[in-house]
Amino acid sequence: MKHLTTEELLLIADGELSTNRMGHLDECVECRESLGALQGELTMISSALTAPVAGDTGTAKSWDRLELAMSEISEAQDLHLSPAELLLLIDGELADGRAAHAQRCAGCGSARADVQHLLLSVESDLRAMAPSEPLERRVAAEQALKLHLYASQPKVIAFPSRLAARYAAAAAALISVASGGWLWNQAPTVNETVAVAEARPAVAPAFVSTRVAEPEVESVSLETPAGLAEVAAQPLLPVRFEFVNARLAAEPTRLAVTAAEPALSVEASAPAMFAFASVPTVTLPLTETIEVLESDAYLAVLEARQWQLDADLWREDVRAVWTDAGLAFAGSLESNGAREMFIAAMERRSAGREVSFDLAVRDAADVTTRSVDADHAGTVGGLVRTALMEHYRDAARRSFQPVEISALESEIARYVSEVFRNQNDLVGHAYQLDQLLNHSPVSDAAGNAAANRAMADLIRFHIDGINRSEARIYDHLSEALPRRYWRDRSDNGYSPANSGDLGAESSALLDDVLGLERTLSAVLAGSQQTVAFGEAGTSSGELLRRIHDRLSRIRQLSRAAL
Amino acid sequence: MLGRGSRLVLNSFEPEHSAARETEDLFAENRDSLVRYLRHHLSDFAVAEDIAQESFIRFFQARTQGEDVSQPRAWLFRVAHNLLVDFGRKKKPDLLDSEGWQRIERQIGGTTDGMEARAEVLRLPWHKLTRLELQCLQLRSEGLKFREVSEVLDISISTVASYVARAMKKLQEERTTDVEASDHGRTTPNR
Repeated sequence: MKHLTTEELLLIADGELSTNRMGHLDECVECRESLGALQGELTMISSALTAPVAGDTGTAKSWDRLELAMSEISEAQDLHLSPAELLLLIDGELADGRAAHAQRCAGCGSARADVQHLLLSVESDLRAMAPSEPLERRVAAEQALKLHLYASQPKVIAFPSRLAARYAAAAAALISVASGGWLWNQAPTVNETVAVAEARPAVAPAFVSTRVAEPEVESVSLETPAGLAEVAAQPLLPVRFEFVNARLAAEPTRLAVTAAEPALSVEASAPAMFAFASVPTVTLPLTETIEVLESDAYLAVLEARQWQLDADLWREDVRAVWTDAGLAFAGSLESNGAREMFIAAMERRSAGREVSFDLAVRDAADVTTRSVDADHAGTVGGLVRTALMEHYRDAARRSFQPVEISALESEIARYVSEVFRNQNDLVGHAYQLDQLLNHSPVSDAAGNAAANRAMADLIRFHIDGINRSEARIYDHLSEALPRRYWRDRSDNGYSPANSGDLGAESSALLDDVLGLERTLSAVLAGSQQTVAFGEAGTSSGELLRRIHDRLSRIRQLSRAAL
Repeated sequence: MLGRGSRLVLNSFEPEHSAARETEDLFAENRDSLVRYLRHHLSDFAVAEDIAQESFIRFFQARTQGEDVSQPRAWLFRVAHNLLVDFGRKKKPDLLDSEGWQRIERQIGGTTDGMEARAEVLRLPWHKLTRLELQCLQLRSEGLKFREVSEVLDISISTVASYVARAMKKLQEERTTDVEASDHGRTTPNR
């Protein structure tokens, strides 16, 4: 039988080819290989053709212009006000031409009165209402699960002595953790003296892997204005997660640096990540040890990680690694049942390949839950709950259902759970992507096509997951909440800096995702715990936009790199 | 972008109010792709933006007037393509001049830092493609299926596949190894 032509292969890729010719593809290895090569070529060409266009003034300005045109058309055709326009009218933000329609249209005037009445009456009812216990427990349980994702094994510090002098000079300032790669890249703030504060270990996360090795403690010489000082460097949890721990901890954590002899003190300003820290501290830059594997071992590790994706076990705190004994899975799981299920799933996919398992089981008694702040009087969380209550009350009214507060409360609980469920996935994907790009072994040989494909598949999985979760969160917020509670408030056209580095962008994306985590908790769970994160009061809308934009760059960078 | 408010409340209103929501959804999903497609064929970004705006406005008008649009994305690109043709009626229908190719190749080269792999793409002989071949390739790259591309360009599905295959073949046949040499060669497109 004749091989498939390029045109036929393209039609197959598009789902347009007739079934009798499709049958040839199942039988012919050569044609399947040709199809794969063709798709790869097309992907490369597509990536070039879909690069950002120079001179683009941006979607927001373009939309503003279109919105104005649509409003003019609506006014010219004298259309009824849309629900969004009704809310703007109540807020006093609707254009005069459209507002005039409400004055002369009985239907729109009545609709406006209905919405306004509901907002006022429900807000007064909910002002002193505490969250229901199921909601509080649900949110707290989800927070604990997310905390599990943040937990990370302390890294063994390998502090090159040859670089001690360089780091010692930098130790006079407060240096925050590198957003990607192995080196600290945030600009330090240098002041006159150095304060080496006695520190406490960071608060341990709720889930701690029992297979964590005791970290080595090294002694480091710091060159201060008063001379050399010996300090004991202790391993730190990744700082990017530490602010989350600190958010939930009773007191802010300190970084684990203790001085053998107290040196001079310095007033060093804390970077944004440690805005809550009340005393200056010194952070030592860490050199993370990244394993270099032979290409075969590297490919085996990547393929094993793909098994986790296939089995939908990628959220687990388990990672494929390469040991002296070969391929292994290491980490911890919630229960013995989960452990057995994981092992069975991986063994099924290993197809006879020898795989070992070093999996610990977490003690359920270690799980901590935290109560959501119950004080909703006049808080943002309370106003948002008012909006949610109005949304469901209106839906009940239009479907001629009796309005019952308890039923509406259940709907709110379900809605908030849905948002946090998607947020959980968003955090999970962003965390795993960051682990993949910044904290995973690398190959000793570049240009391995199979390894690049495997890595590309893993990256794409998480990128798609982030995209999906972000879109669902956006849909949820826009479905039930008026814009004023979550919209992008950055009027200055803030645009995240493009580092051009895949690892750096991934780390920055994780920062934004964790920022969204905190903001959503404050908005939807009514939490009083607000910590300065970059600019004060970053809205969910802005964080979602940042995540969306940064994800696009990561997608482009990964296509170019792999 | 304007918040959409309650979807349940939206659904209970008059049909013309869904036109605004549909337009907003279509805009969010396709604005960048549409502008990119137009920009590759126009020297002035503002004109590309204007044509894109006009396309969305026409969609909104069509929906408010009750016109059924079963494939919004293809419909949108078709309108934009026709507006593009009207605008550039004086140019040859299937050829791009040297200035046009230089502009396209600058745009395809991209502006994102750190994308060294793009150098390989720059070496592709884009100037060997006809306008239709490029358009089919572009629309396919923007995510349109062949069926949708055929509706936009008013040609058959098999013709779309042929154009894409031909374009890819041309791009694969000659890949220059020296970017400077290829730039010099592209000042006079080979027809």
